[in-house]
Amino acid sequence: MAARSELGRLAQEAAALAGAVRGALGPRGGRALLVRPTGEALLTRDGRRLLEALSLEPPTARMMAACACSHSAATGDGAKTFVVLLAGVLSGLRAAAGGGGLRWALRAFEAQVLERAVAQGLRGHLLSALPGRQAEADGGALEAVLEAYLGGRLGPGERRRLARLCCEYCRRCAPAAASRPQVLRLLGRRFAELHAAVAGLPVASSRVLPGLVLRRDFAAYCPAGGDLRAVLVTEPLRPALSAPGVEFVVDSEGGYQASLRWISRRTEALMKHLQSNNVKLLLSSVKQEEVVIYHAKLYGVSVVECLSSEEIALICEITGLSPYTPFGGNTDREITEAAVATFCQPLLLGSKRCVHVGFTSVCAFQPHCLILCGPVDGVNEQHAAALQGAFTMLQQLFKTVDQRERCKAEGESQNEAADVCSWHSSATEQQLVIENIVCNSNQVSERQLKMHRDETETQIVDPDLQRSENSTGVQTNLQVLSNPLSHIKELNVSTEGNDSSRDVQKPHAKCEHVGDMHENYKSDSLVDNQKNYSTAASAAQSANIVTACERLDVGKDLEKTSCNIVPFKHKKSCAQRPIVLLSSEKKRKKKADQLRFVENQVVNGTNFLEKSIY
Amino acid sequence: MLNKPEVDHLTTLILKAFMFTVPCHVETNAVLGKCVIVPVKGRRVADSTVLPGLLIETPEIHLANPLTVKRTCSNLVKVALFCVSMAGDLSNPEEGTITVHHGISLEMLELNQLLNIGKQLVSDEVGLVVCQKVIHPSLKQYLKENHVIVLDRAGLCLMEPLSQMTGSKPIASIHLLSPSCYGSLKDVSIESFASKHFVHLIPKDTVVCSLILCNRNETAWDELKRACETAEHVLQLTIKEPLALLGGGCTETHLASYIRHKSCSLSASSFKDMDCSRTQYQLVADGFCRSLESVACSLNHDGGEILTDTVYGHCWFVPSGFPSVSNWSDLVSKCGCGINGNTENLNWRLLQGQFGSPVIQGCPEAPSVKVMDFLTLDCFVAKCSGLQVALETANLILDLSYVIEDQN
Repeated sequence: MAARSELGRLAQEAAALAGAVRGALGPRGGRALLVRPTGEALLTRDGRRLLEALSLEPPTARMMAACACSHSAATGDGAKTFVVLLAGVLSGLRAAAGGGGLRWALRAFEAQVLERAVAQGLRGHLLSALPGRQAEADGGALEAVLEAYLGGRLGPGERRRLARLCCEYCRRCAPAAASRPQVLRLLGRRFAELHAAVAGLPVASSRVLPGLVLRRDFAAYCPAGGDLRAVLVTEPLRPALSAPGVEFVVDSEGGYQASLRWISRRTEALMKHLQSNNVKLLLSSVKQEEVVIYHAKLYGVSVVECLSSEEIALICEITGLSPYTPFGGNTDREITEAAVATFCQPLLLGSKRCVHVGFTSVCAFQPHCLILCGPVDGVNEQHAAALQGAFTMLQQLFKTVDQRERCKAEGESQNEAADVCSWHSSATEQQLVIENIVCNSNQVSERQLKMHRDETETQIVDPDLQRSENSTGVQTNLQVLSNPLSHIKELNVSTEGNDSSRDVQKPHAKCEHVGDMHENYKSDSLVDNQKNYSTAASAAQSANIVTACERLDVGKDLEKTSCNIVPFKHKKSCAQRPIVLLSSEKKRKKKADQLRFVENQVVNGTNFLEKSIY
Repeated sequence: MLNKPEVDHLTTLILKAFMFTVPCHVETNAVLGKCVIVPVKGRRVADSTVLPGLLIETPEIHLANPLTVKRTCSNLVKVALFCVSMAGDLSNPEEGTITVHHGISLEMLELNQLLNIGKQLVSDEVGLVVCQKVIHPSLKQYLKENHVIVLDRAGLCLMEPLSQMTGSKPIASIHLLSPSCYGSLKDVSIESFASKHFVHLIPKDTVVCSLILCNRNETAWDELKRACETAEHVLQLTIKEPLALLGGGCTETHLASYIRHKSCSLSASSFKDMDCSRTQYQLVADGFCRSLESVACSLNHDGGEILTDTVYGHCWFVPSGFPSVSNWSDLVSKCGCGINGNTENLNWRLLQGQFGSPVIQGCPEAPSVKVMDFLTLDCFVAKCSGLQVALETANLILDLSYVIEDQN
């Protein structure tokens, strides 16, 4: 009974969330202006940004929003649809006067009807997003895809222009079509450093510039023509008299003077050494002393200081540069840790002066920077978020191609391969990307979830359970397990009870598949969000799970949210007891356990979404 | 408010100041100089003036007038610019501890070093020493005895113009002085305004100038300064893009009549491209034209009528107090920008504002180019950019479909 009133409340919350995002849904939707009591205003049409910005009180509502956000973070799209769909499902369930039979019916529906319909039924109606040879997705097709994507996120005037801009940007960053997937991954990760926003100019002024724009001004600028060498330092270049924990004793006047003079001369010698090695640009992550800047000016070295760690990481990634430690060893040797820059000049963006530097790249990515202009800051943020989502979405498109080819290459049975691949292609929207998840999970659901966890169930729980929690890293972890199983199950399932037998027969063949998939994909594919399998896996696969756990470095994210004890336990438990294939009775018992578990949750007031429907 | 002679005087000054900032000799990159505005409150506006070079305020009148400045053999004044504190305080950036034995005074050591620097400056024939921060009195005295002009407490804002003007690199260490960081000046003199005394630094090539701006009223002075800075900015924009628009509301009315004319004659295919119907387009175009005309109308503050002519599409203001007559040509003399007189019969009509009915318009002509005095002009870049941003902001607001108020 408690569950039923919970259901009503949940349906209401979901309906409220859906109402908040509905107005921005689709190409005809409009912008939402979110006003906080503090006076901040957020202009957006992006479902994920809207949901993240809402400060929701009920923990279940927070969890719903977190689910939508983490899904959107992985795929780049679909947060609003998710929420609207969720609201519809919940209200439908409530109207159906749910009881015990409802949860079973829902599961059966998912397993038997929905999956097959999505996998096979939809397949006939799908078209390739990028027609023609996938490897050479030409500009026109890319622009059409981007325009459709941005149509749901921007106003009618802006979408075409921004799609064209984004297409040009992709083209210039990855002139070789074969390197596009890799470049898109980098763009998705580093877009924050690869674009600069200027408020107060018309949108038409947005453009693509070669090279990188660093958000600092020159501390010292010495114009130099042609190619120049650049060096990165992470420590102050002026030797210090004393450091924390070090005591400098002055026992003679001459000694003190000599020390100070030595310091000055050493700084000068360092600059001279840089000049003699033809280094014309010094990039520093810390603030340098005045003396260093002064000597740099004298010896014609431009200095940029106080660069952020993300900018440094980007520069290192593009140029393969490692920090130069002048005092580490012999200071008279050649400086080998230098990168080559084709130009280096100040750039005026609006009223701010920035550094515009063109590095020669050692990877496939040709560094270009996107300058976004808009009437107000809010518009620039909106555009930047839309473009970031576009890169995530594009990664999915290119990923499909790889998998399809790889699937065929593996020489699986035609049927299975075809199904697996079609599964992937139909579920394009739903593939998870690990890098994105690991990067984004910190921001995405952190804000939403503040649940306290005191449950310590050590069961290997459903992907849904995991998904509803914070760490999407865990999600993908478990998807490794569920993936091959779902295929097996999908192929010949009539009732759930039969699954086990099939599993027993086929584990080895699928094991290799899993293992291969593991090696080949850096990310794992989440086939279906709604799957509710208790994750039965064969013993042979447990080894893979362990490696998956370790490789994904799940623990990092999990510390932050105390809720995710399960993954930890999972990690430990898989080493301790191999996960065995569950027979149908065991599965039912497991479900009973889960029910009790859920009821505890409901009582404690921390509900998991799926469970609370029961 | 300023009267006409004051406006003319200031205009000349601002132009002069701007011309000073344009470099005479350009090697590779032309960079505009800087105009530093010096406040003098309590004098009339007409006392404002422009001087090439920089003015540094000196509190004391210790310097004799005329100044005797040490010059080098090429008749230039050598300048040393310091950006560290030379006050002898041990501003140590060290993080750890420094233990000093009994009998050693670090301040004495520092002072000795400063005096050594002084000796080196004198032997290098430096004529002027400027320090961003404070100079120790002993060092000051020593340098003065050796006929070196000393200016301290110059401040951070003056560092960049000073180094740009003199070519000197600000010295950041009192332990190592490199002769390559000195700069040069053509002359140094003393100026006085009101009760303030300045040392006037005159460079060889003027890229930096000082505008001494006077105003009786202190609060009005801030607004005057803002106006001068904006004027300089507009001049810089005009150098970047040498176009000007006719002001006084004429460009707005001309543009409005042109758009009205054009929007009647668009082909059907262009509507398909834009994905809207002809009526929708004309509604929007009409709204835009009305908004332009409302800008022109807002220029009128004395309640008279505003007319537009159907030949050139310019804006004409009728002084208030006259009864409305049918023959407008008696009341108007010149259009808003001043380019058209009322010599021909220009078929004026009232500018309608928000509630009139759409007007059928022939194509407005460009006025024949006559060299006229006192044309009112507008900055092209600023206006163009302003129109575009305003339109996009309007678009943004129209695109807002709902507002969520988060009260948590």
